[in-house]
Amino acid sequence: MKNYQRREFLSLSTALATSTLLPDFSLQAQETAVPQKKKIPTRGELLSSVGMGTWITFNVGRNQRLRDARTEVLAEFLTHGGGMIDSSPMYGSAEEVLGYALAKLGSKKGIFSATKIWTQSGEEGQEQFTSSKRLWGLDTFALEQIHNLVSWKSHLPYLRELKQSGAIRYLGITTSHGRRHQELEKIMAREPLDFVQLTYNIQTREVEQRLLPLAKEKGIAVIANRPFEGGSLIDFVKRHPLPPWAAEFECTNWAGFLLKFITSHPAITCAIPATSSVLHMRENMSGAAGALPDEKMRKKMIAYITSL
Amino acid sequence: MISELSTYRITDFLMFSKEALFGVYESYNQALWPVQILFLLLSLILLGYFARGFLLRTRREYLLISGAFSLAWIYQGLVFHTQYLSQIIWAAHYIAWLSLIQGILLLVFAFSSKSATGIRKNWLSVSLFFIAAFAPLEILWGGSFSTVTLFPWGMSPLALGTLAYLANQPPRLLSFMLAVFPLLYLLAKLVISLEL
Repeated sequence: MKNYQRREFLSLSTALATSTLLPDFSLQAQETAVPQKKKIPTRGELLSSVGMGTWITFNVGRNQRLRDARTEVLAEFLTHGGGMIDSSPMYGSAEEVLGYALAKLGSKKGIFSATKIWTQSGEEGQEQFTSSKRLWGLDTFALEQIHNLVSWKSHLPYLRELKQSGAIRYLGITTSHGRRHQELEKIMAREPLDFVQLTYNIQTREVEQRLLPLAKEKGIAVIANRPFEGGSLIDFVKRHPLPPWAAEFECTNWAGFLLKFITSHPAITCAIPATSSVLHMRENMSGAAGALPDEKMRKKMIAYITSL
Repeated sequence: MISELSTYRITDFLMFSKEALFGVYESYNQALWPVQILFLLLSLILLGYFARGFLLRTRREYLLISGAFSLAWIYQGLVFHTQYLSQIIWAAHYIAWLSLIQGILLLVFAFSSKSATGIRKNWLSVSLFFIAAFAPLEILWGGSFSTVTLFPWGMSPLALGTLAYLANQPPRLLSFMLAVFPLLYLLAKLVISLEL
């Protein structure tokens, strides 16, 4: 089982004790428990192990009703101590909608803002960064990434400049769907990076072979995208009962099960599920609360999913 | 490179949900209201033309109706794609250009037609136009009444209506060329509908 930070342990103990004394509020106490945090290797900063992706879900254009619905999803995420919000200029209106939601909630405190540069041109990359700041309503970003390795050689020096000037705290590079892993491995081996983002979930575990050990060795934080395999994985497992032994690592739903599998890998810093539902966000954030499975339990989890 | 391309699926390119797409239709309809009533009246008149054998009288009528189709495509490019669909699909700007070109070519097509009279009633054409103008297909796909778009303010119904118009013309190379974009658009819409 994962060791808790002292402060987290005390907070969680308080929450659990309160839930015992006040059964009417037990669910709320459990849900708002201090989230599991993991360390970003390059600076030691702690980050909630479950973040929020915005691919598709926050791309709702200017429809007021849908914008307000996404604001509620974001509010739920922040209520549960969520930190990383990941987006990209590629995601249509997602950044604009995020900016709307953040402004409506009135506070950007606690968020770990992560966006990307997604263009072939170095000049356009700089314009995208400026545009992202305007759309999010931020002066600086926590993390700027190069989207899907696009033109990474021309963008990386610019990201280093941004980091040096304090416009970003971290820089990174992303891939997804298991693509271009060999190239990513070469970049990770040669270039100083703070973060990489890749696809990792209980079904797609190819990165366990080389990329995750390399990230651990090089001290690179890892963001796991597509934790539910674009929704197909969770849709599949939800047709089956959650195993009773999931309670051993304080797991009460499938979202928590799948997320805890990911974040219990020692090289993973954060998983970023995306959702447009407040209820699903609550379930996702339960994956950040409580204990994490150990290695033996992780094997049991894989065996169970494989058997379904 | 080819092996990487094989890992892509259609859903990888669909950066929006059905809900978001309906949201765009909803906003678009709200902004347009109550012009839809006028459009429905126009569709009734056009259906009359289609039903009795399209464009049997004068060249002026023919040019007026062709002009309406042309304007509808230009409107799709300038308004729907540029101002609405582009909110959730960046590629909508490219579709807008294609819509503009389609609108201009339709006008060229109409003016270059020597004769547009004497065309017989074509039931395929009538049926296609009826569906385009009056069948609320979005509801069958899970949308609500507020998301319904019809001919000529909805892009798919316009594409279908244009095919009905072209099916009622004497066969010419340009009429086949003008069918390409509406057909591709409808095919893309069908694939998206199945995938979302």
